[in-house]
Amino acid sequence: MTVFNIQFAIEHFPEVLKGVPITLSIAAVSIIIGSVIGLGLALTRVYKVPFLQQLTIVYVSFIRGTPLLVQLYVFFYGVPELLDWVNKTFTTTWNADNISPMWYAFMVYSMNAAAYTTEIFRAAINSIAVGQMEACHSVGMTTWQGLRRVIFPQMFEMALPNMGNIFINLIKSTSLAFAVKVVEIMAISKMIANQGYNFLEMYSVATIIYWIICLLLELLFYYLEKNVGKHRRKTAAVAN
Amino acid sequence: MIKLNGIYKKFKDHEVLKGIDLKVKKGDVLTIIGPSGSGKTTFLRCINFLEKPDHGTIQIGEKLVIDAHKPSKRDILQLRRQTAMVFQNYNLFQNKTVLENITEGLIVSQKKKKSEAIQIAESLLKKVGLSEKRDEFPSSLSGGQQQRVGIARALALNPDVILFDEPTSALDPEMVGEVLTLMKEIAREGITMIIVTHEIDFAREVSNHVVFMEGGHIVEEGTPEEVILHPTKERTKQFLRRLNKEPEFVI
Ligand SMILES: Nc1ncnc2c1ncn2[C@@H]1O[C@H](COP(=O)(O)OP(=O)(O)O)[C@@H](O)[C@H]1O
Ligand SMILES: [Mg+2]
Repeated sequence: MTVFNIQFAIEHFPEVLKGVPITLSIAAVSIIIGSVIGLGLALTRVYKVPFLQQLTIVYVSFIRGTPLLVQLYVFFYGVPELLDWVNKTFTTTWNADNISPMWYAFMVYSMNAAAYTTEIFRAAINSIAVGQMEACHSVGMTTWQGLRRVIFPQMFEMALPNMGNIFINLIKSTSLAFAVKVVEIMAISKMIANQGYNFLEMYSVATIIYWIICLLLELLFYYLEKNVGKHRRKTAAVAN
Repeated sequence: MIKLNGIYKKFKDHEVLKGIDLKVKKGDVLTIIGPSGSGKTTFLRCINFLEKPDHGTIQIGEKLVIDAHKPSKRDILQLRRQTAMVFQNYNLFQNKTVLENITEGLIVSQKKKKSEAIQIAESLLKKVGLSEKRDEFPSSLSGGQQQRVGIARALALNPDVILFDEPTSALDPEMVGEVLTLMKEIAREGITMIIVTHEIDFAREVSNHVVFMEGGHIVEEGTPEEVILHPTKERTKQFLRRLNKEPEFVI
């Protein structure tokens, strides 16, 4: 066992950096898909849509109550089985081998993001006064127009700080995606470490990269929070 | 013309409106008075279906008749496009500027061109004396100013009737006057208005038709002379006495 080989760490730093776009794209794709789904699920709760509402409650509870790693495995091993069954039953020829690991990651992380954003959007919508939608109706807007033009913008502004947290958590949790063979920061670090047993060095490199990404994202969200609705707060301050 | 027939509404087991009939002619200024909890707000909200009545029909204009039993979404939308409402707590769109608050309905529901909508909004802002607040957000305005924007938003739609639910009761006393003055001005222009209010003097001055409601019924209705100055029903007299605003020159 040698002491910490800093030379080795620095040398392999650029290689690990190649995983950054993969990490970022998993997090970005899943926050976008997850938000769209989460918004729909949140609406089933806000409007107490029979059946769908209960389904949403179960879904959110399931995702939040099971480990991400387990979900990844279930999909990774479950989807090929499912395809086999579909092929047999409907005589199709889907081939699970053609599914890139990234697709598993997109699916599972999007489902996670959806569950977490559902709760955030629901809370945000519920905190908007009911009078806002009534005013929309009173000027002749449909409910959908009112949602799009008045409710959602206020909701997003309110949800922004929490969305930042979700995104940062997604980034960190992508370190589990190596389990389904996605070659992201963690997987690259592991592979390099394996060659010469330089685990501490490579995991330190990964740590630093994650930290930098999250730091930059925190700055970005801090800036966004400051600037979204900034004009409104400014004029409000002047009046007081 | 607006004709309401047998408007009935209950919340759970609580009968709030027990079958109300009312006719409002074009250009009428109708005020609804009555003790709190008598169903005034619920009744007003039934008129534009913010509250769905359990029974009854609503007719507005010559063509549109809505039966509470089988209202179509299209009819409700149409009803709302022919009416406008001024809320007790203003309900301005918080994410829109003052100008956008007024243009929103014009652009989205009435499909007017943006430039035309802005023109209408600007002239109404001038009318309510808030041109310089054009690009502010509602949160930066006083209550009185917000309510004037609320009135401008309703006027912009050029509706068959504007519904007012106690438009001054959330205001600080010093701001009540500016809103009432504006409403009197609108009333003089011949706009059809239905106003729920506790301001009896205002009701007497501005309206040509007064309705006294209690316990989900219309107890008495008529001209301000009849209902406010010379009420015949004991309930009405009691209510006016309690308001402690009985006009001094009652004989
Ligand atoms: N959404 C609601 N759910 C249950 N009860 C309601 C609701 N809205 C009003 N009520 C009840 O209906 C009655 C009449 O209320 P409202 O129409 O607001 O009277 P007013 O405007 O004359 O004070 C009150 O007893 C009130 O508690
Ligand atoms: Mg009321």
